[in-house]
Amino acid sequence: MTLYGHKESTKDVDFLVPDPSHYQLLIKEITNLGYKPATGNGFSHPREPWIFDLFRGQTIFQTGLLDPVQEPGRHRVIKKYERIVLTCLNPDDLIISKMFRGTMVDVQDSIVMIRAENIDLVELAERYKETAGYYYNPETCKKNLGYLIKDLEEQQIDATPLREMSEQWTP
Amino acid sequence: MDTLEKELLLRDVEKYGYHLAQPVTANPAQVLQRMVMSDDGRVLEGVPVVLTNVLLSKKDFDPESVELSLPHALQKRFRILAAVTYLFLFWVPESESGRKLLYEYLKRREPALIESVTDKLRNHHKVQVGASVVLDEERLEKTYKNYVVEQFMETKASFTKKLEDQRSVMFTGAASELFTDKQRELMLKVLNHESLTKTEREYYSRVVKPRLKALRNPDLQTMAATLLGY
Repeated sequence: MTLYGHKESTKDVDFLVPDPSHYQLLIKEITNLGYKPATGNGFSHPREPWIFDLFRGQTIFQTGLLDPVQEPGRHRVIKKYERIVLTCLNPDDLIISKMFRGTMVDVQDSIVMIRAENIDLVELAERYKETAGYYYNPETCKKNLGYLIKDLEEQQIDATPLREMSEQWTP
Repeated sequence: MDTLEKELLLRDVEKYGYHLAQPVTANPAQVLQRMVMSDDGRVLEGVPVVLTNVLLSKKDFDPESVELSLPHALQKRFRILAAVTYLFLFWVPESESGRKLLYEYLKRREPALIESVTDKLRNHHKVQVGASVVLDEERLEKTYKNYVVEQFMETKASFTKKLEDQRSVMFTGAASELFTDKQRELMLKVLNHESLTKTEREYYSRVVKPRLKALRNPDLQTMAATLLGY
């Protein structure tokens, strides 16, 4: 959200490292730089306030992304370093990964993304359902989508494509 | 009647001469594509079986082209089932080239998938393959062992038996060139430690044993090899 410019700051930074061998290398390097394991997948430096969550493969939080994230078109390049390319998840995958978790903050962040990135809700609805088909608990995905639809409608945003999909969807 | 039962009925009637089902295609890529597009768990459980047979028989098979020919939402399903196949191929002897091909394809497309599928099968005993279809580890494994591993073993056993039969025929032929039926019968008796009559013992020592000793002569063997060229 911060990298997209839709949030002023963040205390947690989530990184997805698609290749397990790159993940091992990264852990080795940041450990050499003084980072220590924090909670869950997190790493933090004793003199810095941020926690960096490093996810391995295609799964962020508990959401397995539908497409290989390293594929062209499935990410937005932020910066290319000599040996590292820093990219962002596409807005639709970012919303999906947030909504599968579905906290109140995630719902609000998703609404900000939908507004700011002018998301096509027909495409989002289809992708949301397809990604949920691989999730261990698709019923939760449907329930969380209900929260998003409710809040979108409260903010006078037309959520018809999401509502129609949700009504026809039996996970 | 669901699709699979209908298919089974068509196959059964075909056995009795009523050919209602015509094969649509013999192209393995298209067969796999149609299987992956089914949401029937029993069909999907068979993908590792079919993929294994394709990998073992078709050296130029390209899994990536099958994946990319599928509708977008099912491409991940194919990758997951390819990862399951990669893991199961460890049970199949002489499947190194198939494993290598799948490993390279998955490493290129989704490098952490083998690790993630291993974790799902080992720790959760099931794997989600899209459209809310969940495949059970035990059923996947059982199907694979029934259709691939056991058949492979049967083929191997039948090949070994064939080889033994062939060797037996060749041995009998070679022995017949040097020994009469009675003499071969006597040799078998000695081999099996059966009791011999006095006449048999004498005959064995006087006629059969010297001939066997002659056969063991290394110079005679070398001469035979030189003359025959092998």
